[in-house]
Amino acid sequence: MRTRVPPAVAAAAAIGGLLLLLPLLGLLVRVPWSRAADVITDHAVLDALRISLVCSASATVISLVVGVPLAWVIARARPAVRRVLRAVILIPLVLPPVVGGIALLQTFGRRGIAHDVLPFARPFTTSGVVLAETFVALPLLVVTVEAALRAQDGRLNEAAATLGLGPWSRFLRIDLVASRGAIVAGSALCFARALGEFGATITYAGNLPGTTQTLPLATYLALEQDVAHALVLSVLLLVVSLLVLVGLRDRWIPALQS
Amino acid sequence: MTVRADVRVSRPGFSLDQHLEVRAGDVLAVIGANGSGKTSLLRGLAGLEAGTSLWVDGRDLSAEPPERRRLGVVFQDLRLPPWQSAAHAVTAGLPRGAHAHEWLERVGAAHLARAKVSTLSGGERQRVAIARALARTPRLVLLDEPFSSIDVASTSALREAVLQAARDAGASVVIATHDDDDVAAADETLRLGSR
Repeated sequence: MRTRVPPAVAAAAAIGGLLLLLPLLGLLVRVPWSRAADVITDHAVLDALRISLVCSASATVISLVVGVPLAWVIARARPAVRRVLRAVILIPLVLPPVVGGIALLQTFGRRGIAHDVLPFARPFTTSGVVLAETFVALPLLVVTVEAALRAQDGRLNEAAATLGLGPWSRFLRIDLVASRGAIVAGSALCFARALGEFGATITYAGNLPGTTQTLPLATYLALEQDVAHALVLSVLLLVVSLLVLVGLRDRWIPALQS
Repeated sequence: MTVRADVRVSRPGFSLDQHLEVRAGDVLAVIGANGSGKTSLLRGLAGLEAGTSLWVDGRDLSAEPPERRRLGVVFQDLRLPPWQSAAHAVTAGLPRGAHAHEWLERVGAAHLARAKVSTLSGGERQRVAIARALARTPRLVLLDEPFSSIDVASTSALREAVLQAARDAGASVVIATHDDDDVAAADETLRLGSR
């Protein structure tokens, strides 16, 4: 039986949908398409795009390497410990990104309390951009993977133990495989969040063209000087983000399957 | 190979303190009402619940994790990874080159070897889970209502095949069941009290 949608629900849903869709339409309508080719082939823009893609991809890889084990530890922790760990993980997600950038400066900056811990990710360097993006995007991967691991409830893991598989084999061959959809989905969310990162990046890594200027920073800067230029850059960012979504498709996210 | 155990499981609203012994090749049927602790008893023997002491031939395995107990377990909810083929499920954890065919054949599931677990019916999955438990020539076989989804006509032949395979391996079998035919096929019966 098809469910009849109550009119109030339909109206609210329509408003919500329009709220998401209209700004994108507004952007696309105003883009000076005749200038698009010139803007996109501009050296500074290509530099910003390259830095954005390289840094977002690096942040995603780092998030995978440390985030999946972190998600596993949280998922397998006792409930009381899990609540505390999850709250700590979520802080960067709810923190205004600028505050995240300031926190990174106070920690890993020249006079930071742990300035020697990550000497390769100093402020105002490209690797500093990667650090800022990782700080902001990592929680998205962790919460996505943790939810999937917890949904398994450790039952397949227990069964694998009775088959003679040790803890490391069970992690690799059962837990990782069982949550592969969430790992891919979490990576995509992580990449998209890193790609759009602005506040923490500009605060920690600055806005140096060719070194730390990512596409969102270049777009914001262009908005003050040449709106048409900024519009083309916005569409470029939109296209890259859409490519991430298309790359995901429904096969990776069961929840999106109709 | 004699299995001796003191199973102690305790959690809010439930406690179990049970001694049991099973000789090599023997079958112990564990019966009792829902909630009497049949599954907890098997979990204790498997090393999945802390607080159980287990000796096999006088060797104390109480501190050994499940992966070092040489078990063959059929869980009530089977726990077959849905992405594996039946053959892969049977040989998981076994040395490279191990063959699933013989074990699948013994439980009447040879034709399912290449089928993905997620496409199998409940009864087919149960057969694959049984083949998986037997394939590692265990010294202790733990079966939690292993024939509940098998059609009546095939149950008795399958039961005989499973018990024969366990006898061949010299393994002790503990089977939690509500089925009188399982009890009749067992050498001894242990009745657990209600909580």
